[in-house]
Amino acid sequence: MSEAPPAAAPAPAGKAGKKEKKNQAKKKPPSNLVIPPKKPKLTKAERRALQEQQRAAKAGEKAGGAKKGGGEQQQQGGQQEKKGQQQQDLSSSADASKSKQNQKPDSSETSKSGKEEESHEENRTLDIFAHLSNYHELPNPHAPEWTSTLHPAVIELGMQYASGSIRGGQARCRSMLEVFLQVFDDYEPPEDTTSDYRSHLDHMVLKPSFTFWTTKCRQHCVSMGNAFTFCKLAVASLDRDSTWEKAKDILKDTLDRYMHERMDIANQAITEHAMKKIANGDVILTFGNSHAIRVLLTTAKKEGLDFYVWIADSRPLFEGKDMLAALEEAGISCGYIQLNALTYVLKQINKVFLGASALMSNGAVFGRVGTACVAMLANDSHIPVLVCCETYKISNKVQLESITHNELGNPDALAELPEGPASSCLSNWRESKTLKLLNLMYDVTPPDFVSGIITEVGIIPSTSVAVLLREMNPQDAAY
Amino acid sequence: MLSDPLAVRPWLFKNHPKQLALLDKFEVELKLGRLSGVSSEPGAKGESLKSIDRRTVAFRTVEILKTMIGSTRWQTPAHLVALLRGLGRELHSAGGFREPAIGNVVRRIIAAVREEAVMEAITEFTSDLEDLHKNINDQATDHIHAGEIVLTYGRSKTVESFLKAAADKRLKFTVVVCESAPKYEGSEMAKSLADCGIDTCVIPDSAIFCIMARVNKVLLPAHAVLANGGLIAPSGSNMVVLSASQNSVPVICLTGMFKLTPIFPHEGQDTLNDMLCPSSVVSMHDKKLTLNNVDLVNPIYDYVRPELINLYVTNVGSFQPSYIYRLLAEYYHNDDWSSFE
Repeated sequence: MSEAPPAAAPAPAGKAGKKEKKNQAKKKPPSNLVIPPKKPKLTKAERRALQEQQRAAKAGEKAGGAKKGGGEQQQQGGQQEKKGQQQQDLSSSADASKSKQNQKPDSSETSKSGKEEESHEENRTLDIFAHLSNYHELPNPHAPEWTSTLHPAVIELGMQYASGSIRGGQARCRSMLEVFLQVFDDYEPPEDTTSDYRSHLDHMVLKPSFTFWTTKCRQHCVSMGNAFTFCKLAVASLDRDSTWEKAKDILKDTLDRYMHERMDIANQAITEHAMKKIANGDVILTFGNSHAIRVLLTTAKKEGLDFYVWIADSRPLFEGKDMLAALEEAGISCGYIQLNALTYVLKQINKVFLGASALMSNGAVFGRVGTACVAMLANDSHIPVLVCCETYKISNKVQLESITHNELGNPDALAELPEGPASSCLSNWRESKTLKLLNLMYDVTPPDFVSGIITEVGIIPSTSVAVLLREMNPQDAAY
Repeated sequence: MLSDPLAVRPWLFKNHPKQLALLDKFEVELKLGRLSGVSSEPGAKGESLKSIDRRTVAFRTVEILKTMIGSTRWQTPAHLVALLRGLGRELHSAGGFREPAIGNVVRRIIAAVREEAVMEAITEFTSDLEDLHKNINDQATDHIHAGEIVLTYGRSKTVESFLKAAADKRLKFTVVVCESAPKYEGSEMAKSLADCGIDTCVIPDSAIFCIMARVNKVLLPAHAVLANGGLIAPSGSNMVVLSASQNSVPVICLTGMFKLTPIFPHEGQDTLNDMLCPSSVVSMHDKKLTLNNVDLVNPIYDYVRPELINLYVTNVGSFQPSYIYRLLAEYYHNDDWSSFE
């Protein structure tokens, strides 16, 4: 998601011009935001020429200025991102031939193995899901193609992603950044002093690791994509001439700060905002096991609020059980139901708190499958639905329903039942030509079901996600 | 002579001990839940889930009523009505509250007594029950067409045979079956449909909203159809139906007329509802959980509002929910609407 596809780079030339025009018409963003100089409207050809020029000029240009005082760090993220994306676009067109050569053997390999899997998995799900890549088994962590190129920590994390032992937008994102920190420690820049360590680091370390995780282990989530883009920008904006030791400290500091500011501080802020919405005697409903909600509820309990929590849960992950264990430990009185009983308990509930994997810019909430059902039922009974989500999970894409973009989980998870009467009835489902099992991982909650989204910058209506996205990255907005 | 419904048991005890023994036997079965799929007997659960046909209980009720009418010494129709009411009370308290069909059968036969056509009514009712699936299945082609994606929830004999009948007409369609936690009867339903060559896909209940965007029709079974046109259906059905209405997908309920119950849903979700053992919701052996201070809820049914249902397909034709009240007037006498409590 974060890797801007090179093919898309030339296309939006016309759009970019339009965007500039509208930018001028819109109200001025706050003064502490750094806005790049406005570009004149260009034709496609002119833009190409300009790109060439910039590329030539860039060789000498230094990417300084990106690492200023800590306070400005946040606001500059946007600018960096844009700059980085330009760089990425440029370098991808410049290195087009090179990278193609580099990637060719690898990509042909992956597509071949992908086809094999597909033929094996053929027709194992409904035709309308044919565009989603099939669930694949764990990669072999000892395969030489990985062990020779990737850091062991990267492979280990990949296995944890694939097996599901690390799950949830925040946990996956944080562990990715932590592994990068570890990898930076062990990284040695190329001997050849004329080559740029930044692109070496990017192409030889960051990209292959991310590709390994996303193609071989598990599809990345929006939070990972955003954080990876941030990493690449941080690397790209290092000082080319500084020593690696020095650059490493800056880099590690940047990533540490991302985790601290975008996750920890954001969590605290969300908890503070959300706690104002919990009153004594409230009966709260939540679904699954969201990190933000867990922190919120346990903190609210510590602050002395007295409330009751219903945890709705569903197959096949039963993540709500972990939530239940955490809330039990915190001494919160709770109830636990599966989704079928939700209608029954709904009349007792007066607030719903839900977590999210990502926020789409049309205000839709991309969350664990089942979230939409909960939000729909609550909305039907006129119970307020509040979604807690940090801003680093905002995606610049839109999604109207759950099928266009999703992730398929292991279908066998549906064939095993957690003990009970029908225990083994689907166990040999692969033998039947007509029987299919579908295990979707996410769903999209339409913005109409959501009363408010609690972010670290405040509680906003779902219609304002696009505004927030724009305020945070003024240059990236599509209009 | 018998005039008070409450006096039925002493009256039978005094005059007809043999018939009372039959009644007692049936009541024991009802109390154990053997006929309604909520058996509390250890080991019987799996068995009863697989073979449950809701018509059984209706057949058995007709049988016992027929015996009572035919072989006890009642003298006037008024006596007979009192006897039947008394029997209705007896059966209701023995477990009939779990199975509204029992009360419906009694009501229908009382209505026949009032029209002085009891035996004809009993024969007609029995043959209605026997032809029930055939009459519903005849309408399959009216509702399912080739290439459709049909969603259904849990397991039901009526829905299963309806879909198989549609497949027999050489229609090629796909069925999405929700597994209906925590009993997972949907898995069995899917297996059975797939074995008949129908393209079947099992989804967890959490994916209902996702998939609804691609579904053409929802088929639901019924536990009872209420006087306002509302539906009592397996718990989780409300989520299905609401998702369908959000996506403008038509919802069709397949039901026999014997499930038409003359009560209104004054108790909301508690109407005709019951709770099951929570052990299927969460395993008591889960080491991570202490479950000391946790409420677990496991209802059997959901009440679904009439405006969320598009059509009832029954053995006597298809009706929209707003027409149900008219059918009630046809089947039961106004004076018999009251519950047998």
